[in-house]
Amino acid sequence: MKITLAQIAPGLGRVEENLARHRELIAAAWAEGVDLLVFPELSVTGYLLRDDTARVARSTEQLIGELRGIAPGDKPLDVVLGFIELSAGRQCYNAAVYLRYEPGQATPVLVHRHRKVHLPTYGMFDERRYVNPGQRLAAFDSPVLGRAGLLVCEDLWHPATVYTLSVDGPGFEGMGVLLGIANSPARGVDNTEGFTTANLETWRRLNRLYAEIFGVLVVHVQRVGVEDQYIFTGGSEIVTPSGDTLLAAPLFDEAILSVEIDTELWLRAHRASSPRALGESVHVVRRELERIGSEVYR
Amino acid sequence: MNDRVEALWAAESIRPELRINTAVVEKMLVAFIADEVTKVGFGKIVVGLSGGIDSAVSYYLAAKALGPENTHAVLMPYRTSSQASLDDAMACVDDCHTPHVVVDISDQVDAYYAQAVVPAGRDDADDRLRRGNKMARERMTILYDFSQHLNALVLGTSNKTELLLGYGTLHGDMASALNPLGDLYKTQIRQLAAHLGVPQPILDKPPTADLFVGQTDESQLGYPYTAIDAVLIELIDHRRPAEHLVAVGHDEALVQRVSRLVGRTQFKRRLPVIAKLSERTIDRDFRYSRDWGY
Repeated sequence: MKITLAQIAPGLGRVEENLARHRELIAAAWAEGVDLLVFPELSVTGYLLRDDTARVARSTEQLIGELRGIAPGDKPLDVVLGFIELSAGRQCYNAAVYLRYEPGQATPVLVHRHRKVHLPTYGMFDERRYVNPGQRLAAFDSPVLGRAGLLVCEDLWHPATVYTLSVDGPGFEGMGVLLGIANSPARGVDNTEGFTTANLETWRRLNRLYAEIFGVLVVHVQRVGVEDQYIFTGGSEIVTPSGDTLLAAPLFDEAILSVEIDTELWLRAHRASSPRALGESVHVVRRELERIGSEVYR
Repeated sequence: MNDRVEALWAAESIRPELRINTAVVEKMLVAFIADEVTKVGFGKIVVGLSGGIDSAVSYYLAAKALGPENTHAVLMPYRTSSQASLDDAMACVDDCHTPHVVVDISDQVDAYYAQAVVPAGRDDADDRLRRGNKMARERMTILYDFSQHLNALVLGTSNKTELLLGYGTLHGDMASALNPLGDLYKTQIRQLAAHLGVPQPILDKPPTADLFVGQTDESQLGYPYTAIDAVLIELIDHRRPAEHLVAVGHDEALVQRVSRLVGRTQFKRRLPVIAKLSERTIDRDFRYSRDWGY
């Protein structure tokens, strides 16, 4: 299959322009026979929205309507993107959707939606002030990836989220592919050995750690561009369960990069060499978490 | 890394924690200037070039970000400013080939103090401080006049060390539309200057606010920047308590002086506080990014 990473610089609050860019890149990917096109977190809205959050929020249905009617390619195209979702209860979420375009249908179909569960509200971050935390963690069936997981930025700093998706499936066989989309402002410029930043090095370590210990293919897409004082890092990548880097985007510059991947090959090879069944302990973990959760005064 | 930068690390014994990847920093700051200027509908920068290292670094970054033709240097000497400072500033202009103008501020400063109603300084130190601040604010008004005339944004030149110590003139040299240098300590600015090709004499001379003849920052602050920055990065960036710094060998008087200055000058790093009266007060519950609204 062919995966394309769209490491773009969305305009802050410029939803019309951003949607036009999405439509343009979706059309190009579809024409080129791409199977999966992945945009970064909040690709439709930009990141540092603050009090502008409610204005740019839209329902998933509205978003899908805004992304319909794109000139079709010869085969289906799947797209991952991020936006501020307005729920039925008029609450805002930092959400990611996995959409599927079929050649015969003008409107893409919603395959999966994830609302960011972990909202960083510390140091430079203030997300919880503006959006609500998602309440669900679920893997899903992707037509091209098989069982997959979709997480947004800070979700990936909580190993429990990745663990949960890794055991969410029949027979506790969870995701084989972890799609992670993020917006990471660059910081930590004291690495004098390589052209990199401290936050990006942490992301690289996390991606390799998850790929290896959960035996998944990691598809990780970051944004670039500048918002106020934040200079977003880029450095999107695809990492195999054995730690090989199949694609590495540059730092700070926009890049639309594609790679042909035989996901089946990588996952089978990894399972054959490391057939750990993470799901074996699900009941123990659940029991212990319930015990811990019920012990209010420890 | 760039040879000049490595030479600087060795020559000045710059601690590893204060070393920066100058190529990464250049890339980030050039992107920052280009983006934050053009996004809000401008295409040009105006920057006051003093002949010192900070304004030189801001100026070189702007010339890279927006092109020399869109970077306007304004040189604003006072009659007691050193000729060497003006020569060093001109060396930058000659190197980057940008438009520039020299505006002598002596008359407008002197005319103010010549008025009978303007009180004399309480003593020499008070007089020097007032005049130095006045000069900085006159320069600010000139930069903002050129800002209007050229449709250009004023680029900041204050570094993290002086912002944290409050070693700058509020609404004077601290005034700008955007500041690429505010998260770099003086020691780090020097590395970036070496990387960017700022003329060597600017790196070699002692830093000075040039407020009066013969002034140097380090004699006024009482410590070299390498020692001050080593304390600041521990206190601020690494969040170490002052007692810990003394315990691991930093000069106790320096640690106390720096801690006190950082606390006492907090007001200089904030917009004027607005008394809250309504349900929605600017900067408290009216929160938008700078980039909002364009």
